[in-house]
Amino acid sequence: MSGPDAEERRRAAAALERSEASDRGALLVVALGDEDWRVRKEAARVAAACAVAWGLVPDLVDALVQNENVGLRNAALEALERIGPAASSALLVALPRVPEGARKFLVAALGFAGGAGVDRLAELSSDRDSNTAQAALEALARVGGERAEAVLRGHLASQDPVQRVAALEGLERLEATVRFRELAPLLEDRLVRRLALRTLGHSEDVEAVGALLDALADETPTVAAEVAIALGRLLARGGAPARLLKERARALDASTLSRLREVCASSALPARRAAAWVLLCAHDEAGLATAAELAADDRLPPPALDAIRRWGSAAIAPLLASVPALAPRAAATALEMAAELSDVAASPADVASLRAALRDALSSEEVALARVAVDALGRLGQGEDAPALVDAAGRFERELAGRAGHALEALAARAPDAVARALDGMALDGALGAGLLPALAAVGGEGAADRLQAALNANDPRARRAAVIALARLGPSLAAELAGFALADDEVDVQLAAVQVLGGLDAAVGAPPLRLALRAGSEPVVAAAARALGALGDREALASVRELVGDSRRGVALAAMEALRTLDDDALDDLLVEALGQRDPEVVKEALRSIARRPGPRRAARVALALEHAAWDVRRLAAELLGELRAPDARAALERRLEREADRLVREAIERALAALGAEG
Amino acid sequence: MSVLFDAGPRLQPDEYRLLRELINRFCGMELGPDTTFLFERRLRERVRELGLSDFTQYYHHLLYHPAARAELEAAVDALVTNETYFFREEYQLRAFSAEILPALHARLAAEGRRHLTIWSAGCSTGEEAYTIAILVAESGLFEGWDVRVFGNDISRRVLATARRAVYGPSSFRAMPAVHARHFERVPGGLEVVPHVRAMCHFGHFNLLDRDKSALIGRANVVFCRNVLIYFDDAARRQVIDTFYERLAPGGYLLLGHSESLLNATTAFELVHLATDMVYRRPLGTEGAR
Repeated sequence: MSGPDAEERRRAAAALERSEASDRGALLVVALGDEDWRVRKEAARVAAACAVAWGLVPDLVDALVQNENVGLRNAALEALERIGPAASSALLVALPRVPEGARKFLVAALGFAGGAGVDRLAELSSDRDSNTAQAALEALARVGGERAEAVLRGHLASQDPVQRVAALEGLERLEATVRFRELAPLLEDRLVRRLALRTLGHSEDVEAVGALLDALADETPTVAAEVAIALGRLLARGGAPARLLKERARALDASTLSRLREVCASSALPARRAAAWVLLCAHDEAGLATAAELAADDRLPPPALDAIRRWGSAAIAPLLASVPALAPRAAATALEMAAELSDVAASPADVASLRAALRDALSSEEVALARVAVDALGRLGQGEDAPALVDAAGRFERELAGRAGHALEALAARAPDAVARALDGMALDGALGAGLLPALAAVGGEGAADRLQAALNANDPRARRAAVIALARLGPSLAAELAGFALADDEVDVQLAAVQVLGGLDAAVGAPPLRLALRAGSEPVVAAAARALGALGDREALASVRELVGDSRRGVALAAMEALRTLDDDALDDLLVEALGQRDPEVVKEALRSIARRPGPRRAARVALALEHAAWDVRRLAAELLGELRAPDARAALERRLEREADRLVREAIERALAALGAEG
Repeated sequence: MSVLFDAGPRLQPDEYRLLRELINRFCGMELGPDTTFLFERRLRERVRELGLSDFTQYYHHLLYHPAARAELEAAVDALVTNETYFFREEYQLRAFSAEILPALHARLAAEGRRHLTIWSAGCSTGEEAYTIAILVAESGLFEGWDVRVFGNDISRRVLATARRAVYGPSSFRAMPAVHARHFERVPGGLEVVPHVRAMCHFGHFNLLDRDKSALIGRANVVFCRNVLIYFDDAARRQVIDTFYERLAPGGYLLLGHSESLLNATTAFELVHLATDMVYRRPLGTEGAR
């Protein structure tokens, strides 16, 4: 730990985690104050993992309030942040004894310590030392909850502008609901106006809509961006303000629309996204182009897309008009949206324009455009489009062969002869073959069956896999026979396709080969076969599947439990209790689900044990299941865990479970 | 997959976090808190392609399937926006041509070395690597030298495009016409000419994989633009350490316009060029940190 090489010291700090030495705690504090940030970072990680068990939390608090080594202080804060509520007692005990100048560091750490410190933080938010008061407000914004929000609201009217800003920032961070009347005075306060406008987006009062739209008259671009963000939030929250905003959006004046378009053109993502949403509500054609750009990157939230759906077929023409000016991916998205709107309702003229645009895109060298055209022509195309679809599959074999196959499959329902002619004579191997084989199956006929069977011997396993799946369309007896053979294929993916096909057949035909597949060497094949047998309700497989619950291959054990749950196996109880001790969280979770669904007096107690599991997702599931079980005796376990739980998702699940128990009581 | 009417499986909060954590452990990628919708949309396609019914099944596939590693790569590929184009961030390329290449030429020539290695880290579909090779060729400074431009990426799909070297119109949206002579029209687009392709090599590895990074040898310049934004702090630091190790003393590190080494390392020196600021591994730091 005192060597000259920082990397050696970092490794030494990491090794402390497994050390049994009596001075490990002291050495860890030394490492927390190391001159190299990488050593401090490593030490903070170890401290977060071990400090509670080693009784080292008071030392971390001391490190936090000393004023000689800033690196040590920051590392201690980082460790305390990760330790969370378990450090709250030590922090609260230390508060009265530390000098005034150091209190702000303790207060900052309390922000990560959960609800236990809220009352003290509330007092400190009015401390005569302004640094401490501000730190307390920031800490409350981390803790959250009704009490913290109420304290922050109380400081909105503070005489101290710094406190007003801290309170607003805190409420903003918590996404707390703020009444319009609380924010209205701050809209005139130049220092906090922008922040207050943004926070208005969390209001439930309809007055917020008018205030925000009026604020768009402000020509400062940053104000317009803040207003757009707030309007977007109102739309996302729903309720009366959102309804009013949608109503007023249809009657926005030219200057307001223009300001929103400017935000779309020049602002950062959150503001662009929000402004585009408002413009979509206004049925503003310029908003469609931004929406297409954002949707191309999956940056437009689903409710904003709903605005386009509501716009309906009237948006088809402006979407098509926007295509030439957009970059390829955005153009493809605009085209895709137009095609989807036409599926709902469109005039013959719109459909004709759309087909022309899609055919143009199908010949594009841009794969994004060709992809959209392939997908849409499957629904909107005509027989004459079949050769171009096959051609596109060949040009973009890796990217589009599968999609073209699906499109041709759909087209075959309307124009089978045209599709058959387009596929005639093609060598169906490789990615192209894998893509187009489903279309061949859709065309059907004797020639198709021969070619599909021939494809079972294709060089490329992707083509063999596609052939196995496609053959299922030609009748169950042929499918069972050939899928049985395919279980012996040398590629796992082909075997999995065979399991999928067999699992979709009648149990009398599909189950026998699947039982044989339980003895296969490959983990996913055995797992898939077990699940398929469960789904088929094949009780003859029970004994074999039971054996798999203890399998060392985790995916197999997991699938076996799922299958036994589906089969409602009597012997499952003992197996499940055993599975709770497995190391893999996914296996434990499946065991918990099964336990919770099986009647019995001890199920809630067994599920409650998992509230102490090391994995957050296991604890979360246990809390959810206890809420569903509504077992009153689980309340104490849930409350105990809530006191110590630092993980947000788990805490939320426990709170929901307790609420469910409360409702029941 | 529909934009407006997609009714596929929904991504639950716990599934979202488990998938994020798994992908982060795999490659250090951290897409930020506001990406639920992006995760859902882009991974839903993978869920469907694999014939799975929900994201939990997909998570299990990523944990237990023999091809889980390849699928993790496919997931990362789906989540990352790989879009790039020739002559992107042209101001930086001007600095590279006008100042960095002459400085490297002068120093390496004085040392009697006629070997130039440039690493395009996270090269995506290869436009950056070929742009660099074009600029080296056009500089005329390195005739007869051994010039290597090495590109790497975690996605096999984008590397296949890079090796194919045929590009559609959107890849040329920012390329000045003067460089058109380095391309030939072929079916499907414009193909990079052989003498530029010959300089470029592509490899499949994660930037967190130090061992594989060492295969590049010592680089004189590292381009890593708009890649670090996808990493969490720890992974970013690890990648920057790797760049430091791979760069020869005096070698340059060029990041994207919104990226910096602030809060990551102080090992590099900041160099003020006429049109850009870049980082450099200080001379005389062989082996030292």
